[in-house]
Amino acid sequence: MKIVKIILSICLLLLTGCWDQQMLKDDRLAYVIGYDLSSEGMIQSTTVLLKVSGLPADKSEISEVHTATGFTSRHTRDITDREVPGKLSASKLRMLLIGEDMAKQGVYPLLDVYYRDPKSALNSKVAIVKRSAHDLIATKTKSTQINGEFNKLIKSGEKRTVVPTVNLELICTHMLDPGEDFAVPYLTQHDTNPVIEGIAMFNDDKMMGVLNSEDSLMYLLMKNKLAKTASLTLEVDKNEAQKPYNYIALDFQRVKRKLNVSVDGYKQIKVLLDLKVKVTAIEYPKDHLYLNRTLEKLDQKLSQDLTHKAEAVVRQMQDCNHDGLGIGRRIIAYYPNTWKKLNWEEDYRNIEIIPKVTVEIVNHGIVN
Amino acid sequence: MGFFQKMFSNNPRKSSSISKMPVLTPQPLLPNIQENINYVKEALFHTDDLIHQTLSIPGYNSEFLFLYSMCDQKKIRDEILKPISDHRHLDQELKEILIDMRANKHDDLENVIDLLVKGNAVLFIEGFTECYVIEVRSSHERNVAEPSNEKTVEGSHAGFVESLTINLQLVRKHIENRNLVVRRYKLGKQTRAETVLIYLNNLANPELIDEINERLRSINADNITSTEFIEEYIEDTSLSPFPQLLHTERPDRVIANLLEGRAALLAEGSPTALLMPVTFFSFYQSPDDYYFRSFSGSFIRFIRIVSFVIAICLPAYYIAVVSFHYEVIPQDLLLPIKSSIEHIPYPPILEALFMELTIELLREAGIRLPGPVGQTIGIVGGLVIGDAVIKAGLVSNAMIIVVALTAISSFVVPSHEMSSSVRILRFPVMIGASLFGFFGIVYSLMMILIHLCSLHSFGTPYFAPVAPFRLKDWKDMIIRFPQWKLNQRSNDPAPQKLSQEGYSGEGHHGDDQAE
Repeated sequence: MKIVKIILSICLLLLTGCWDQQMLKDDRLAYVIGYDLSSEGMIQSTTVLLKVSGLPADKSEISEVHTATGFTSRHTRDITDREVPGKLSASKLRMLLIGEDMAKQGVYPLLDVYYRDPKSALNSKVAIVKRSAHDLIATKTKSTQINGEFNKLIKSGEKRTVVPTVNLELICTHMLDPGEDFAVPYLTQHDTNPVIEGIAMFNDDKMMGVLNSEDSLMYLLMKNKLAKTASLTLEVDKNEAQKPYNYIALDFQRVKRKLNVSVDGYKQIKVLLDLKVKVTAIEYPKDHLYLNRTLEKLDQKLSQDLTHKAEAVVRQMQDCNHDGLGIGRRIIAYYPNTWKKLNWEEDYRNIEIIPKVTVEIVNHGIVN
Repeated sequence: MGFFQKMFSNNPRKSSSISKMPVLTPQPLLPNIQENINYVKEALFHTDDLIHQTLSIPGYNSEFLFLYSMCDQKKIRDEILKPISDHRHLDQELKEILIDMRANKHDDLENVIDLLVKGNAVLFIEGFTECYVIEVRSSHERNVAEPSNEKTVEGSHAGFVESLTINLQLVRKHIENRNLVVRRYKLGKQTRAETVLIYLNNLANPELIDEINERLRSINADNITSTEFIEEYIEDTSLSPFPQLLHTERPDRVIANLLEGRAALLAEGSPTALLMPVTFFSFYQSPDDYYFRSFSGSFIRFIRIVSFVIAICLPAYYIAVVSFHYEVIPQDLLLPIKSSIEHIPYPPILEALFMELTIELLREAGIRLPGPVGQTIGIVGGLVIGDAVIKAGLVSNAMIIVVALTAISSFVVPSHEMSSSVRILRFPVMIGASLFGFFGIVYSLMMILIHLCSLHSFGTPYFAPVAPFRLKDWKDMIIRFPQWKLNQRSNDPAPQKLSQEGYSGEGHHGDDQAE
């Protein structure tokens, strides 16, 4: 009897298996998905499948691209799945590209399906494409196969402090947070290649504006998000005959940020942003950096320039109603009563943000 | 139902016949030589290798008997014929001749027959009430060479042989201690195999010895020919995949374990000693760990424990990943894996079973074939099949790597029985993984862990010192501390004395090595 029970229970166990199997060899993996607003207000999706060179006979060098138009992103995926031989899976998605028009309407409806599906790749990168995501993908796939290209481009941008390190998961919290906003990389096209143009600033889930790649560096420094390296070329002189002598290139070593939010009475919000940066002069043809006088002069000049830059960036952020520094979050935390009275969507534009950058050249390379 | 019961019950119909063991009554010597010889011949059913020869001792009518298959002709010449011929012309007493022969007196014929079977010659002299037994056994012993299945780089290269006397000598030589006790048993109703239990009286737990003694005495079987037979009779759980007695052919391993308070079982005709009680981790310890310095010894042992995990989990993990959770594959690895399994016609579990079967076949074929041919098979199997199977698209590249790595790790285990258990154990884990993914792996590993924790070896916990937990014994588990740090014996055999080492070496190892 015991034996029969054991055999029965083993059989039961074995018969219940395999129901949620998803075979890697049977699935077709979407690597890059682009969303655009189609002319009728529908969503057009462009899906690039991972190119797998399985059989030697299969020699084509171009990635498989499928385009579908539907009401929601899930709808377009279902339509695409009908075209694709094998089961379409987005669980290894690397890159999500969203067309600018689509982004201006709001991205949450697009991304909702990714947040609900437990198998979706939340570490996939997100970027906004100037004009149409479909065109960018289509021109790129005509010449070569797309596997990790977009992803690698964004990652190198992150390392150089050009774009913020974000992915599907990280932007979700900020998208739903009234006190902080997110920014994602902004791509454009140069010949057939995608190029990082800067970053797209969001308010809630709607794209509001763009910062170019030099401003985005400033933006990230103000957010205290210095990555591995960050370099910036600035004009420090105007009078030299030979153009290169007018410029200095800086490599940011360390950033110390102090963000001080103070509330005076009713709606009088003042933000002091104090940035202390230590830089290396990696290019300065004019030289004489060993002289303390030159250094001091340069430090002063650079501090002034960068403060101006920072002010410009802050102005753009406020114009776009983009609270990338998370000032709202600080007010929620430290001044909850003030926050209740505020209408952040309106009042953010009017608060006073005073950036101040102090530059110190600590290193000028191995030449003397 | 009845069928299963019959299949698995332990022969209930015959259990009543235990008491029917024939007891031989002593048979005193008969007065006549011829009668004696006839009695012996009858008792041995006129076996053809029984030889009887007449001896010409002056003044006495005498004959001697021996089994020529068991006796050394040279010894017969030297021990029996030579003393007689030496004394022929002298008027010597018979007594002197017998002393020269080194003969023993016996008067029970049944006893004499037993001795005859063991390779002694029996001398009957007309008119005597006793007969004389002379030891002329031929022996063919091989050298105490290092056992081929338990090689070590350093340390003693001696190995047990098929002779119990030599084996005991090898042990005693290293433990010159009056506490070393040898208990003798005769096991098997037909074979009467001589088996000895050895232990250190001042270390081994008396309860353990009683338990072993009881289990050995309760063996009621006809055929016991070697220690491996005894194992199944005395182990705790025969239906467990894990071995509960450690086999070894190395005297140094036996000695080390005796000194930890364990007991060893040796048998005549078997070079394998059984050590008991043991824990799971004893199977992953090799004498080499102690011969190397603590650092390298620990490293090797750690690798071995890792090999256990790899051997059990790796194929299962791979199956689970490619059929359930491919999200966990790193991005850059996805493309190679995906392209290698893209056109495989079978599900991963079949792929794995096919490759595992191939490896097992190769291994078995390699063992059975004579040396040089075995290597050829290894090459043919490993290279040709491995390569062709991928080209034919039956098995993926990744699976070959996984299976090969698994096979190698299962052979790392220093103990052969544990290695085969590990090889068997990975199949349920693989099936679990193919049905339920990671959940299946966790489930089957949990079953294994529960089993390990509940297993006992001669009353001591098998999975010590993990469960029950004892931190002090971890010093000699996954890593090996320096000898001078191992102040206490491991607690699992419950030795009478825990402390094995004082503060030797602490002084000059200085403060930087402080506890």
